[in-house]
Amino acid sequence: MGHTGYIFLLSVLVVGAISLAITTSVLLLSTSAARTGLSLRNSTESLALAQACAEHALLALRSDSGYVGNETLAIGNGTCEILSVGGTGNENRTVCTEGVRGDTARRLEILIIRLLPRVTITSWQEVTDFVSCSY
Amino acid sequence: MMLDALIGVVVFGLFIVAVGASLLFSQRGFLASGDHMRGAFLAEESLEALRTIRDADFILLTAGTYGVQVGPAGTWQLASSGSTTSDGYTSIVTITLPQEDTVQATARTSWNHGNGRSGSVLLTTEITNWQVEQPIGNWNSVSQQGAYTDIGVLFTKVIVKDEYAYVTSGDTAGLYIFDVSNLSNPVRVASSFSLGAAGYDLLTIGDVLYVLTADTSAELQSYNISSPTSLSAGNLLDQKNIPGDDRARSLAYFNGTLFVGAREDGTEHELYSYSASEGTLSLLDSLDNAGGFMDLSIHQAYAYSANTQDVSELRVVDVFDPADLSDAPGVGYNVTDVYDGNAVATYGTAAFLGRLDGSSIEELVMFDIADSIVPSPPPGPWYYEVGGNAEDIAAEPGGRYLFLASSHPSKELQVIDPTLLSHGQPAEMTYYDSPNGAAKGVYYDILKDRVFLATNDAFEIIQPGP
Repeated sequence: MGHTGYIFLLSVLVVGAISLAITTSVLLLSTSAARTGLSLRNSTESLALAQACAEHALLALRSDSGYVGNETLAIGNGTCEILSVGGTGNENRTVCTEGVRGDTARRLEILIIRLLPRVTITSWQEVTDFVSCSY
Repeated sequence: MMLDALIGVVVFGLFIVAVGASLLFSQRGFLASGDHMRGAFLAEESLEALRTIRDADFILLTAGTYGVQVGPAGTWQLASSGSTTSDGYTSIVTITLPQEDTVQATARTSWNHGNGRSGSVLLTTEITNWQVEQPIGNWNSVSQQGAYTDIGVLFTKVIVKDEYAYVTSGDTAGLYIFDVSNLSNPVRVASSFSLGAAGYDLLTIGDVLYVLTADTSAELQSYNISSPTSLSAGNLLDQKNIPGDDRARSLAYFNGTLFVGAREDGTEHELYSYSASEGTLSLLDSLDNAGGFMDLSIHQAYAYSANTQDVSELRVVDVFDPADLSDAPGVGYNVTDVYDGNAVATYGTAAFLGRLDGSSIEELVMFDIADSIVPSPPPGPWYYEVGGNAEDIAAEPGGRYLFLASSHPSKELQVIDPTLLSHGQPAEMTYYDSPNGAAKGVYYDILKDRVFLATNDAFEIIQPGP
């Protein structure tokens, strides 16, 4: 009889340990999912900021081909940076921008064929690291 | 036995409660994460909708709070109230207009699914009117709109930045600044400013003016022009001596580097590169050449120069590494006879070389550089008779017009159709006969749709039409 009680207790402990492992895993997954959601949100905000700086730089360049960039804009709760604008004059210019929100950064690299009479873009890419610009 | 069973049941029960609670907590976490992802996606979609509306017409973006929806035509349009998806997410966009041609837009997507499942995502961005096409007039005929006349000044080169024109001169003032906000009446400002020597080529980068002078110990100078009306010697940022005396003639800028071309000298170099940061100059490299670099135009990291070298009037230098100036493949192009190259411009896939007057040559040459850095005809080159020195060339950015300043006695400004020229047809569209002597410099500002002309005795503003 005494053995039966131990077996029952032991079974409960084994099942409990398995349950604990499953629970821990689920909790870790849940935490990870929450962090993923937050990162995605920050990432989306960063991209919106990078795009804001890109739009700002393109308008500035269109108005003055001597615009040099090197500007940081505060937009909403984040910031974006326009790096030094590449090239010279009306043709073959390069604009690079970076939006930052929290610890997330998104980067855009834009290659422009011509500024006027209408801004003509050959490439508008999100990049991991800048190729055509440098800090 | 009963006690063992009771303990077992209690422990088992605790496990069940713990597992159940953690599963519920986890599920809530997963759902919240999904809510934020969906919210971020919908807010981003709202901003994309605004950009699509901007693409159609910037003036459709007016200040206010709206929803966005797909209209009957299948395109995004603003709605009077926020739009709600079937799964309960409501998106609104708020548009403010902080300045002309700029919209600040925020997109907020919010949700409330009950049981604590509520929240919102806010995205902020800037949308600008950079896509608008700049309209220009018909330059089949031209007329003077305004002028500043000063006999004997010998105006040389001209550039325009914002509402001010900067014009170099052959007198000791060297640099004249004009307020051109009223194009009919250019007004000289900072009239007490003087370079103390003749001025030659000039350009602006940001709020810095770079100008070449005849000052034998400071041919290259940079000034802060953030306040043009009060420009003074105190605004001098830096100055550099170009070896030899009064040799610097041409300027160009590319990727933080300033290039200075000089007249030919038997011992000194003719092309110099300087790092140029906020007006501060530092020599990087120089290049020796058997001819002077009288004008420069940068095209895809190559410096095209109007050169006095008899066997290479169009000389091309690789400036990709400004600290290591080197010959471009092919070096240069030798045009007929030995008349010096004097002006150069590049546009799209074309290069234009202007030369000094020669009875046996046509002074303007158009090259095709689509497939070759140094021209390698055919196709081209194509020739145009200027009837005098080709002193300066300005290309309309759309490639429809070429403006040429010349010493022709009655055609100081010539308007040329590059397309006709490249088809071997008569390309002169019209000309302007200045009463103020030969033209040395020309600048076209597409935003103002005006040509600014530097002649011997006047700074003139030329408009399209009679």
